Amino acid sequence: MKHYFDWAATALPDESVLQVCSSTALEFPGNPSSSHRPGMEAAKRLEQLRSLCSGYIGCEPPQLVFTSGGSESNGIVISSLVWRKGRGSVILPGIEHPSLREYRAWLQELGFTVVTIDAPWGLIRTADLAAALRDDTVAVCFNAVHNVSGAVQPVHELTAAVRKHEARTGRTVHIHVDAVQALGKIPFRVCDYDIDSASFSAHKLSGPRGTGALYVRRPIEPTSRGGEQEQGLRPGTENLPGIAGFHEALSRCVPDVADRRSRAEGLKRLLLEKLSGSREIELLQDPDRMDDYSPYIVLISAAPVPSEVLLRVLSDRGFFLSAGSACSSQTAKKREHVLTSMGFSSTIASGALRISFGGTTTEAEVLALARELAEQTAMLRSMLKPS
Amino acid sequence: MAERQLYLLKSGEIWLKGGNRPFFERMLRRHLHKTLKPYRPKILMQKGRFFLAVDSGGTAAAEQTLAKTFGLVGYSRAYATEKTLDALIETAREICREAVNSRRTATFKVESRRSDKSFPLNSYQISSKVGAAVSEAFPDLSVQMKDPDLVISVEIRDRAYLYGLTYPSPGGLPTGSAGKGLLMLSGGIDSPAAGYMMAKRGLVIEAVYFHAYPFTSQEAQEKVETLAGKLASYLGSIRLWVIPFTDAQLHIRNHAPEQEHTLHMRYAMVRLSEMLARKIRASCLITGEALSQVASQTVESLGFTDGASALPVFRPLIGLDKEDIIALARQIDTYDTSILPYDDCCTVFSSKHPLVKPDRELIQKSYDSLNLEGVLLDALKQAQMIRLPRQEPF
Repeated sequence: MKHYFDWAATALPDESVLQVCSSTALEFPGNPSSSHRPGMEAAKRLEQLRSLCSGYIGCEPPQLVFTSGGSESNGIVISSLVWRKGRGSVILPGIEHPSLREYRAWLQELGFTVVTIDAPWGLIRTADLAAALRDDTVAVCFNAVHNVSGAVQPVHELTAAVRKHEARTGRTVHIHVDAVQALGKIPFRVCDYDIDSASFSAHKLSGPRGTGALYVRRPIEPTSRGGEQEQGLRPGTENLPGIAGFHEALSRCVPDVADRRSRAEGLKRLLLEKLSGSREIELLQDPDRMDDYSPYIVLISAAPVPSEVLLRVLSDRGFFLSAGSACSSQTAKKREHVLTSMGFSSTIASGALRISFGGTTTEAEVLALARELAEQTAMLRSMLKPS
Repeated sequence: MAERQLYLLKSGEIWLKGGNRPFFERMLRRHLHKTLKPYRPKILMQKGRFFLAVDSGGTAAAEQTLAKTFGLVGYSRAYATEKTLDALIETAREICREAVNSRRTATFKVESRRSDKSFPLNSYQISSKVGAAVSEAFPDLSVQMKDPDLVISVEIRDRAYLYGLTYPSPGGLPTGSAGKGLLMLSGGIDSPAAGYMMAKRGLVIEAVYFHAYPFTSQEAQEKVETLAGKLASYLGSIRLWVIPFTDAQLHIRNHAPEQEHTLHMRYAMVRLSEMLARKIRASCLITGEALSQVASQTVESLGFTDGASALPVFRPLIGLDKEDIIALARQIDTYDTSILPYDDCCTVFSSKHPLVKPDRELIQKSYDSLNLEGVLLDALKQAQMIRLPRQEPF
């Protein structure tokens, strides 16, 4: 892997984490549901890991359900809503990850009203959320750290507004937070927040793919039947090797999250400083509120150069980034929708690029990226400029 | 000598061609010889019938080929046996078993011809004896004279020949019998279908693709290669020419009014295709255009882009609805590849409000003022040829 800048999509694997997965698989071969010794040993190890992981996540062990990752965790919460007797409105910011946003039509079909709120520069405004709350609001869902813009949402203020509304109406509102881009990257413990559920994913922290967790403050209605595992929320034989890898990744990221964050801040500062000279590259993060963004994510636009063209050129030169949006495919249109919800024009959105850092990103790589970005953007701009 | 498998080939239009018939037959022979070369194909003409013999290891290849050979409407496996009643019965039962195992077969009949009059039974007797023996072995099958599910044909000549199920071939005219055409192949749904239609009328097809890196991706080109490979299944192989088109596209984008971009781009592509066609001795161009499907396919727009080529431009899809084109693309197995999300044109080159009804004179003047000829000649010099074998190897 030459120069990887797509850590927000997935982190590069960590060999020692994979070794833990492998050794756990060999050491605990039994099914945790079996009543023989290997089964019971596996069950015991599973509960140990649950206890250890919940320590890092900041909740009680019974509140932590192991899942296949962030998208599934989000889906479990939303799906459990529809099992409730009543209907009502659900608030989903327009910038949300598809694993939340794509439930809109489904919820509407099932009789819910879905209220969308915009988030200028990716930042959800408490006043906008407060204005969107209605007497029949049953749930509010948002990202703690926005996966595209890197915006760190004011979770305390947002939840306070919801609870104030609850007190006034006397009706409870479920607050669900997708914390996939927060866990292990910025300090985030669920016990610090007044939230009802939260989603986590292991592979964003160099843990194994297909593993993640859902925090539920109080039990929620299971959506499947026929398996008792994970409180019935995620039936099926538990992925013990994956969970062990998840724990290993947490143990590497969470304790020194502050050091890692300041390292990422340094890399981001360096990149922004180097890009600030370029007239062709526009920063899509609010320059007046840079502290409100994850240090791991930088969102820029090279419009009118389409992001997919710049990505292609950079990829061929060994720099791997992600598009904030793209030319014309259906998926790209959905992504573009995220950018327009942030207040950007479709032209700016079509040139958006997301750069994300991780544990092995170096200053030298960031410098090389800044140079390539400026050079290739200028080259493409000159191609597209009428001479 | 290894055992050989024999096929009876059923030709369609070839038989209508009177004096030209030997020519069409030669083309068919040539195509089968070329495609099935490793299996030592031999094509025989006997009493107005075509037979193909291949080494027994080549049956899968032969059947895949025959199912995609233009000029044939169908084929049957043929079995040559000794001229004894027992041998006839045994083979007829085998044919029946093949039919019952491969498709719904409830009714059958036996049809016989005897040109060797020394055979002790006449045609009627052969049919009844073989039919009775088949009925005995397959009690669930009933005899039906009119339109049965299975016809077992028996012919008594130098040896006894039996044929069973007829498998379909695509029809049309033998590959090469109409000369050579150059297909303008994009990654879309239409152009592969257009190529198929003209190949079916006997054209050997070569294809041209305009690649605009970095504005179009390598994946888009690979998609076109896959599509060309699908056409190669009918042709034996295909040559795909990839012409770098970035400079021409940028020149148009940076010099022409925005609403004219698509038209000039199409004109330049037709122009380049004509230059390439002359180089490779193709005598026509083929495009997937359908009337009024998009802005560059209106009567006025086609009138303009037609002027870029002195060679005839064939547009076999011109009168088809999109649904019909999709059905054809599915039939020839190109649809699923065509809908892969790798665009063959970047949004920076498409007009928001393209000209739909260009004034012929004005648009021509506008194109001429771009002075693109030099850019196009440079592009042609850089054309690369990729030879693609048939998609599914035998």
